[in-house]
Amino acid sequence: MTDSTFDRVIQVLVRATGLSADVAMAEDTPLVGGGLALDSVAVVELLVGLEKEFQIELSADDLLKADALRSVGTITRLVNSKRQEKK
Amino acid sequence: MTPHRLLHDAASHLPEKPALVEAGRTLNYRQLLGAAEGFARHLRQIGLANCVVAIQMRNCIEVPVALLALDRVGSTALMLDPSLKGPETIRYCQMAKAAVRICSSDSTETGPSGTPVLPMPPLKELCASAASGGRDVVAAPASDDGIAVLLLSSGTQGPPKIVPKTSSQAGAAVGIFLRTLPYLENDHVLAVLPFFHSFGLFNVLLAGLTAGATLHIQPFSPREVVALVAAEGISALPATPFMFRMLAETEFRDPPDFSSIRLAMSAGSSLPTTILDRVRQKLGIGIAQSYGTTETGPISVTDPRVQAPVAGWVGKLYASVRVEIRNCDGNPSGMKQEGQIAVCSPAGATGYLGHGGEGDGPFRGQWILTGDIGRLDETGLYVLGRSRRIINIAGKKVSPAEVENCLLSHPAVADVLVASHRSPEGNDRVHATVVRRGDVGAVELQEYCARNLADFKVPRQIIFVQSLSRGAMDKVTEPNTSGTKG
Repeated sequence: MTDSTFDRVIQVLVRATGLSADVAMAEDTPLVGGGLALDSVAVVELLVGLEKEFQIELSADDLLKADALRSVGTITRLVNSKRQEKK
Repeated sequence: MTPHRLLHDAASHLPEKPALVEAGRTLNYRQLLGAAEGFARHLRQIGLANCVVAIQMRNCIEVPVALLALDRVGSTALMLDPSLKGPETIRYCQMAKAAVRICSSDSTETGPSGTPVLPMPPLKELCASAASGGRDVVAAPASDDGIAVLLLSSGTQGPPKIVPKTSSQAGAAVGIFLRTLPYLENDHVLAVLPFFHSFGLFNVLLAGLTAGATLHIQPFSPREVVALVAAEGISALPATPFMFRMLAETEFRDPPDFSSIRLAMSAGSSLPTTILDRVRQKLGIGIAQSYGTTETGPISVTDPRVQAPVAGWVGKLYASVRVEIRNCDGNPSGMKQEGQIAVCSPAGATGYLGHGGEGDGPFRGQWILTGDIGRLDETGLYVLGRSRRIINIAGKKVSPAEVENCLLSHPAVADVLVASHRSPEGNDRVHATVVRRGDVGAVELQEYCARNLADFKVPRQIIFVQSLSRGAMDKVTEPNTSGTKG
């Protein structure tokens, strides 16, 4: 995982979900359930925001297979793998 | 008219037509009524006739089966959001005196539930049970005066309420809608709006099935929706403004083909003209905007072919709906005057569950005060503002009082003000201003809320201040701005 991708994912998270920019987010911070407690609306906003930021496509299947909504780190890894696929 | 009777005509005329399609599963109208009959038999056998039963499931085929079965045994369905947390679920089940909760097998609820869970039997078993039994096993359905469903509402003030709808009011909510925006037998309706919400229940699920259309149940995601529209020839697309915005913002490799859509409509919150324009430009469809509340049922709808005269226009009244604009004394204002929007509709509730009814909250005899400020003229109805404290999260309503009560129950919180914060994209978000009396940070408070409230109610931002100014009525007027983000 590159630091720059992680930082950009955090920026999209803050922008798309309205979370405080100064909330500490680590790789293992959960996105849903506990942690950031993103609801279904925020999750859709996050995905559309990530697609725009990284020029990638994310399907529901991708999220399910990669268990991508488990944490900030897992969604970042999915973004990285999608960017690799494009190259 | 009871939900079961509403569907009976379609089921009689179109027994083999697909009624519901979801993730590779299809139920035709005959099978739908058969499964409902089978489940009704099961409910009767375990003593769940003539009582209140909660349905707490994400949109799936089993929701209408359970709803129709409850109707058949004279029971009332309490429609609950599956994202509610344990304490919220307990509260609503206790308020409604629900005997059991019907949940999905994949439910991920947290905390104790209180009310026992009734697992939904497999559909095949239900259909087989109905086929093997006689027609008279199940009791006659409830009368039109019986309470058919209980819906949650943020209300116009205070904590959330439960709105009872009789079979007659439920039937009217469907009928009013279909007389103005008819679904057709050959329609393929996309069901992405939640069935526990009044519009999703009456104007998507029950209206679609009453018309004999085919409903495609699908969780919302822009790419899946576009794929389904193309694959199934979706012709009716009811959604929230948020969903339309997400469809317009997503970059698709090939331009989405929405040529099969003949009716797109927006409900749940006001539809900004920027979204309307972007959807028209990108997807080539116009959107009808439906305005209504859980208490009143549908009130008005715009014609997508007509350019909105000014912002706030919510179109012409639905058939059988009457609107008055009331001044601050509660008396009708003159034409074109601004005031509170009051509605009289055969789909309107007459009071909240467990409250006084007449004169209680927004209920004034046959009239219901919406809490919205508006104006009515020959071009239609305009909503100009809100007199109520409600936060609208992409169509889901949050009562600030409920979030404030949750935060105040934390030992380190002395005072709090919860309000809406609007993002640059126009989305409302829950924002809390907190006075601390102990050592606590924003993350801890957010986690505390997340244990007790559905995720969409959890404040996205928490600001700490030294004090909140209170007016004569003990209402917060403004925070002391020397605050810090936690």
